[in-house]
Amino acid sequence: MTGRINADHNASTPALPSVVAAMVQLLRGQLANPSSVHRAGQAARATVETARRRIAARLGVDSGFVVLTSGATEANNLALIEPPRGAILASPMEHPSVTRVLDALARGGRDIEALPNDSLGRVDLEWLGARLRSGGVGMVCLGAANGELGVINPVEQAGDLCAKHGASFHVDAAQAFGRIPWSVPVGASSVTLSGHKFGGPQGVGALWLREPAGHGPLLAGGGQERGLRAGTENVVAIHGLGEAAHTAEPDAWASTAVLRDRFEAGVLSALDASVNGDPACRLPNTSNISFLGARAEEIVVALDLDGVACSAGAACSAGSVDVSPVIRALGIGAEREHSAVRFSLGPDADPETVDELVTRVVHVVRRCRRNSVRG
Amino acid sequence: MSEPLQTGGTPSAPAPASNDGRVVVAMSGGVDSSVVAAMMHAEGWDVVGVSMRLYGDAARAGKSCCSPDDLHDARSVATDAGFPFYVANYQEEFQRTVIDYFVDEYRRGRTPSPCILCNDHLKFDTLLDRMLALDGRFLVTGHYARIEKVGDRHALLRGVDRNKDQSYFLFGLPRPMLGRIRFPLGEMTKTEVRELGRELGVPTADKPESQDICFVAGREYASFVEERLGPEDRRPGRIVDVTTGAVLGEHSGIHRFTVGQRRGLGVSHPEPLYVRRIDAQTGDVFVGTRDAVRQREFTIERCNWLRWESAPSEFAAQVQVRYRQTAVACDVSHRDVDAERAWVVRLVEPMAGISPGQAAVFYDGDEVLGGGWIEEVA
Repeated sequence: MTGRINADHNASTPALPSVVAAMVQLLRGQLANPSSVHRAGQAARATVETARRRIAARLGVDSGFVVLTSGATEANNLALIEPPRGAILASPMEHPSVTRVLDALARGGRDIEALPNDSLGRVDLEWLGARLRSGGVGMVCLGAANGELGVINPVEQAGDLCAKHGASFHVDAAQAFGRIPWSVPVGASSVTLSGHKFGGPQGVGALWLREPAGHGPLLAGGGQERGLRAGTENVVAIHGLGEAAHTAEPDAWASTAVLRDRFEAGVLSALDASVNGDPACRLPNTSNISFLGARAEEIVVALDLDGVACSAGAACSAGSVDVSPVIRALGIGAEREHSAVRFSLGPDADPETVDELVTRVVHVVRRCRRNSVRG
Repeated sequence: MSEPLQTGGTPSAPAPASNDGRVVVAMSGGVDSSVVAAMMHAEGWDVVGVSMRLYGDAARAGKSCCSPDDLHDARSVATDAGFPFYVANYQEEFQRTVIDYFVDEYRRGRTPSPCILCNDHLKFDTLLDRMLALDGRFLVTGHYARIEKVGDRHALLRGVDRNKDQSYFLFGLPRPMLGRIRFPLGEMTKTEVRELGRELGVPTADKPESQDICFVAGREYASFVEERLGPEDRRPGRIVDVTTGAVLGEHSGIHRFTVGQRRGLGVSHPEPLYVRRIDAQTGDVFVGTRDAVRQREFTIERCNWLRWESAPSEFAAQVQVRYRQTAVACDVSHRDVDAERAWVVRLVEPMAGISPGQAAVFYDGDEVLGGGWIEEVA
């Protein structure tokens, strides 16, 4: 078997066939501005509103407002535009579109505190409860699932704690929405989702706000999205996002768990390696493995040349790989940090592909583990 | 590139089993490595382009070598030609083995040679490992030098373009791996390389050369070093006449001086004065007239030999103690000096500007015999 294997679904998923069809059909038709008064504009408006409804249905909410954005990054930025007074608690394992925004807020004088985790990437709910009880917390940020490790966070319980103590709770659900059975926690005040993580297009996402009134926009201009997000809507992408929300099948993702386990068992029986993140509570498709004695970046490149797509760390603008802050937050030591590679399967995976993936990974890691030429 | 393909097996680096002609080309974004990559791709090799990301200071705008702009240029060459391209993040190694070393040498009153360190520790060590990990047959760079098979070994030779010859910087190549390294530009002149670049349609064919040390682009090295020295290292000291012992002036830090330096001494004197020696302990900088600073003998350390697996205890050769210097005749011997074994180089004619910290590279005509690092100058 010599084809390419995609083990990088957590970076971006291929668009679902129905999504592609829906978007192409719209592109071939008459694109109009949803704000226009005329019939074509009304049709565009209807398309946008249908998508909004579909997203709300998938979220399991019948109140609040789904703001359509250019993706999860914009949605997270919008969620944090004017955080309520008080300390903001966030895990260092959050996506950079949360952590960098919080860094900027810290530089501006806001009190930002880290939500601790253990070496398996599990957040400390007891710490959270105690901290909330001690008062002065305005907001908590916790992602529904971590894209690097696959760890699923206890956002229901965290949300309950926040609600009890009057703190806002923002949930970045980009890696959970449409992939695992999931609905908005009772205590959540806002939720981010991302199109290209569950079979929709790139460049589109949404922020659900429980209390949209009074929330400031990130992008000002025309009054689109109830004044929460200016700019002519990306109707084609929004249509694709709605279609994905409507047709996504978390069950298809659930069935990757068996294959992911098969992959891990195959790799670990042939190589000395260790899995990162809590294996008991993970996304079904994700496997983050440290291969001591080899460099993650080298493994990823060598695998690419052998037809396997996977990833490691955080890509920077120059295209090189830095150690991921998520892995660093585990405190597993520099060697495991520099050798951590993420494999994320898709609903298209089958046993034959997985076995081939194991073969290629083992072959490459052995080559990358050879002694240095200088001895 | 007309010699037949060598599979070059050695005990530590057995020949690859695959026969797909994969080469890893080190690409800096500059003309030379861009042309080499495009050339090898055009010849049918399975080229994998790799750029090393060595530093990430966003404030360092412009192109100096391996900056983000250069990585972009390298990538565009690969995209145009259609071969895969990757960036290797070696920032940590570079900081440790090149930048820290650079500052440390100045702190010790020595003159560093960072490009050789980058070759020794990054290009022909870490990147060489990368080539093997990627199942490559050869690591290819755009250096102006030649590697040729001589009997059952490989020899490193000067490039044919004497003006561009970079063999001096390559004396540290690992001898067992010479058969797995290629320098296609060694047979060409710079003019021919640019011409070839234009013929192949390489986007960077007319890019200007980078002249500075890559990680201090646009800034003079003294302020770069100063920023990184602790306050205890930035001590003023005296400028002393090496012949008479007279104190001629003061300076604000030994890191501003290098052996052989004439300008910027801050001392007025009827004849031009040159730095002969820097004493890091006392902070004294010894200067003298051209004749007074000529020296004949010096010791070297941490030698690397290419001509032999281990060098004979005595041999004659020509030596360069800096890049851009005509090699001069010398004798090299491995003998006891102050009860320790040392490599001693004795020049036939005394010479000025032999700087501790620089590399002494030995030649036999065009062939690089090996070299070592200048330690003490008599």
